[in-house]
Amino acid sequence: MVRFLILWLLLASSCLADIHLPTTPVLVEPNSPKAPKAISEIARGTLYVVESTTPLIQLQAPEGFLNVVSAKGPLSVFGIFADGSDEPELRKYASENLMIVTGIKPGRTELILIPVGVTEQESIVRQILTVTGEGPRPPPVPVPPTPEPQPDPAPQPVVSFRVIFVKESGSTLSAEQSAIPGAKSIRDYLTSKTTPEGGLAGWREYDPQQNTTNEQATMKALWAAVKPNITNTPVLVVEVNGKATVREYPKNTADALKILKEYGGQ
Amino acid sequence: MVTFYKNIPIIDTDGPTDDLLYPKDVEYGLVPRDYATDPEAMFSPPSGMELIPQSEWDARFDEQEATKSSLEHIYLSGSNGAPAFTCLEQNGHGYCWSYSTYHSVMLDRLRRNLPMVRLNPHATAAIIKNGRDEGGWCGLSAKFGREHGHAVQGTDPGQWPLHSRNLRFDTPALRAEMTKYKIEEEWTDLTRELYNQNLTMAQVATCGFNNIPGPRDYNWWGHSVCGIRWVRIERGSWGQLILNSWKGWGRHGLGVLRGSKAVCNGGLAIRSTSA
Repeated sequence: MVRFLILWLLLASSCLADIHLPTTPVLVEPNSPKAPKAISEIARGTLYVVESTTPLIQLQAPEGFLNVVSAKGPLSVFGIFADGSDEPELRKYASENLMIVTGIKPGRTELILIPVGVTEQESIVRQILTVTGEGPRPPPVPVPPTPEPQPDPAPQPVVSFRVIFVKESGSTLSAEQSAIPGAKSIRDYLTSKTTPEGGLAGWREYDPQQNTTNEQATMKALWAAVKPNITNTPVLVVEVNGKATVREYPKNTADALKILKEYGGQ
Repeated sequence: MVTFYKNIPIIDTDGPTDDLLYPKDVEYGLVPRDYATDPEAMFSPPSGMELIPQSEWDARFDEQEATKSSLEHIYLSGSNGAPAFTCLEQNGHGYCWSYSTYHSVMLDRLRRNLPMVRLNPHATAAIIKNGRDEGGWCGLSAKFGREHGHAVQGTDPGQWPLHSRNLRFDTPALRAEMTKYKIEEEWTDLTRELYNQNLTMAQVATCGFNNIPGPRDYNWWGHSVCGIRWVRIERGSWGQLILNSWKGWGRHGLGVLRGSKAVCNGGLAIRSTSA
């Protein structure tokens, strides 16, 4: 218990606030000369679990190296952990908000974690992660003689959904694209489905150079995180359960609605 | 007899619309731009604007109608066709040239779903005119708005009370609050002296099809209003949908100017305000 308390104090003093990244060593003995160090390398197949007391929005720069699944704790997880040994183990995570990160392909990326409702830039946690090509080789798992069919994993409920349409304010798009996002069907859908803040639905239309100094905290944090990844316009930014995606601008109103419903549901 | 576009009155070149144009007990306030004091270089030129050719106007208008995506639709998106906000009202002072700009800022925020605030154009006009009830042109309020922002209506510290011209409300708190609502993107001067009437019309139409609002000055009317949309009244006949700042005027403040009445003498486009 004391060891956990010391670990927590060390993390708190390093401005990580209430976000806990996997570290090594996992536990710190009293008077130990070793300070915990955030892990910066994960092998494919290992689990890198982030714990937080507040919901997180995550971004990757560049994208494509990590798969991130948001989950609610407490949660028991069985696997090989980035901060553990090469053997699979069962762990119980007590934090309310969890992000389970795995490597997709070898390479280096930055994982950016933004607490929802953040007002200070210092509260945003950034961690460089290198995905290595070789994963640990777990011992062979005995195959049961009559495997039971596994149900499809239940889809994650949408607990956070925000949308930003980014287009140059002085540009002239096609007639069909100009109707986005003004079309009544799109506005009605977004107003009913996106996550509100301060009574206002969680969608916006921004100029690429949008000044968000006075924006609501979550939208401001989302924009700060995705803006560096926007290199051309128009584009569509969709955030679901803390994961933000920058994608091609829809072709027309029907296309926009179809895309939005893929993320936000019917 | 007044004709209508979707229950919105039309002010025509030859129409009997005096009751609409010059109702009793209203003020105007437009003083035409003096190019000697407000030269063309005051605002950025619209050379970057990709004009929408007239051959596309019908298709653009039809798309806006089919999808209900125009600024007209967005403004009238309240319950049962009511406006999303009650239009601002200048109440007997010659400050139309500030109201047209403020209406544009509020509509820009509405269309982009930015946090909605009720702004107060009296603040800018009173500060520029040192508390006097004097006319001006839309560029004066726009220039001030680009440099200082726009005031919020109210009686709390940092706000400007409704219809007040009292400069004691021009406090550091007010100026700090105003900076939250500044123009971020360049204004586009639609009415440079060297432009001919057709070019101005094409620019105004392009703004309308792109949902870009902006103040419009009409010397023949002695009045400044907010331009919302370029509308087809009937095949081959187009007009400027405007939002006026007179109480109880038109349909929720909306009217349409057609023919020679639609040609503005001062016009700007608001491309983007701060979030």
